[in-house]
Amino acid sequence: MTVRRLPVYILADVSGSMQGTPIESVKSGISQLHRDLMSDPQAIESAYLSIVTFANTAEQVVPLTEVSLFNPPNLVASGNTNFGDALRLLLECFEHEIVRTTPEQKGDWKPLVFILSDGAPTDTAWPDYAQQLRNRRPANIIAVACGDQADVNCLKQVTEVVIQMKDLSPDSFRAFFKFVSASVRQTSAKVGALAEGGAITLPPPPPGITIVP
Amino acid sequence: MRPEPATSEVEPGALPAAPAWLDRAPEGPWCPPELREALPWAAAADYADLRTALHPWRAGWTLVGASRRGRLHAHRGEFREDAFGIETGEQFFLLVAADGAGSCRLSRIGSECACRAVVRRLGAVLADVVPPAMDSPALHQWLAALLAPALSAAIQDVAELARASGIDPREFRTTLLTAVWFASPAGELLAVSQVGDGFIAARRSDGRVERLGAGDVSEFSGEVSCFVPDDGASTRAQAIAVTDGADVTAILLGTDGVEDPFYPIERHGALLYSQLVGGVSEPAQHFQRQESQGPVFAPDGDQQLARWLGFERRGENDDRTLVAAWR
Repeated sequence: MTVRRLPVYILADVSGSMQGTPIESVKSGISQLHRDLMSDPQAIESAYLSIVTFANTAEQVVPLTEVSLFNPPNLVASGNTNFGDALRLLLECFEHEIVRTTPEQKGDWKPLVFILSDGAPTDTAWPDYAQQLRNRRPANIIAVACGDQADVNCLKQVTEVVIQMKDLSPDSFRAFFKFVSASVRQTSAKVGALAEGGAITLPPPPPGITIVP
Repeated sequence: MRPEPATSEVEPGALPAAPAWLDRAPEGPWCPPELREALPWAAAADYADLRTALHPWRAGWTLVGASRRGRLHAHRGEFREDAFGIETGEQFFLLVAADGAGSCRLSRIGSECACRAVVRRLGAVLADVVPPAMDSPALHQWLAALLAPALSAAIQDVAELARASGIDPREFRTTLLTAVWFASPAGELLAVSQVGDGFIAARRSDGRVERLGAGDVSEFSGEVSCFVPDDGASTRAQAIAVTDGADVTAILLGTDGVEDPFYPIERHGALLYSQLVGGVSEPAQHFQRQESQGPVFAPDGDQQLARWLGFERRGENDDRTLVAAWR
């Protein structure tokens, strides 16, 4: 009889193109998300956060951590966009960190993943990992195309749910992380039939952020 | 090796004070205007965050039920989405519990209507039926065959409500747990049917607490493969398991708000039963709070059950419904 967690993974592109305002906005957005979740008793009891970054390689800078113990990390932007390594690491995190239901214990809630990227992959391995994620559906994944240069088609190969944030201003990132917070709050409820993929119903995205059809 | 959490170099700002759970009244009518014509009884129905029932039956049986709004719904000012029903006749009693899917807008209506439909449909076929003189296996089949179309019709009632009101049937999604006790001259029978998660269990005279229904378990919490009134719900509901009831001393039906803190019921059902029959003197392991109280299986069982459903366990803040019979 262990605690059932809602695992939330943020996969943040920290390649060189994110230098400056975008990376600073992501950092303050993560802090804002943490504050928002700390104001919600259900999130404090069940939400666990992890931050995975990707540039030349991917790194899990914060392992899955309960909200009350979470420390927003420092993030530095530089290098290429090794998207494949990020997806590989995400799959590895699922393997090691997610508790699935067995006859002896209830599993976690289905993980919630937010992928932020402002560019196109610079590696060639990512399609294989994207295919694995689509086939196995181990999480509810929301990909965010940040700015005009983001490769929407690539993100669409990871998940059907891709949203576009054209404007990379601090206000846009703040609104996006509010959306993340609202999604987390809304997720720990009995979801639709598995025959439909067990998809969650997301809150409406904020102004300036659109769902890519 | 897993990396350690990075030390914060970003000013996180002041974190809010630890938030308290709130107890907000639901906003708006329990039955929305677009359903009032289809559900004339609903206009006069009084919604309550907590509903209880206690029915003595014959042959030493007492039936008790309670449904309590969970802390999460209370915090958000939302309605309780669980429901239950109890019906008795000369030769039967039936217990039903339902848990509206949290992601569906009208699941509270779906769970309540499903319980009412089961009570009405099964009550009608059981009221005056004369059981044939036959041996035990054939009698099991006869009872299952009697109940199957009535359960299917009850599910169709929910689907028809959606159709008549022009609303997507998925908005009414609910689980449905049903147990029927039938006392025939040839013997006592217990029949169960389950759509979705939650549990149905029987306590035998040798002390075993046995799960009877087919639980809907998936890889992650909160995922259910089929709800009422989805396609396929009738098929699942008609997969009725019938067992001899001579050595059954209690029957328990619980929604996932009860099952999850006691998961797996196969292992923790005995603890659950012992608390119901013997009261609570100390909190169960891993529970943050569970008040001392008298037994639920008692003349004031409805009030005791309402108290019992108030236990606190981290992360378990769903509505809770338990319907039971004991002798």
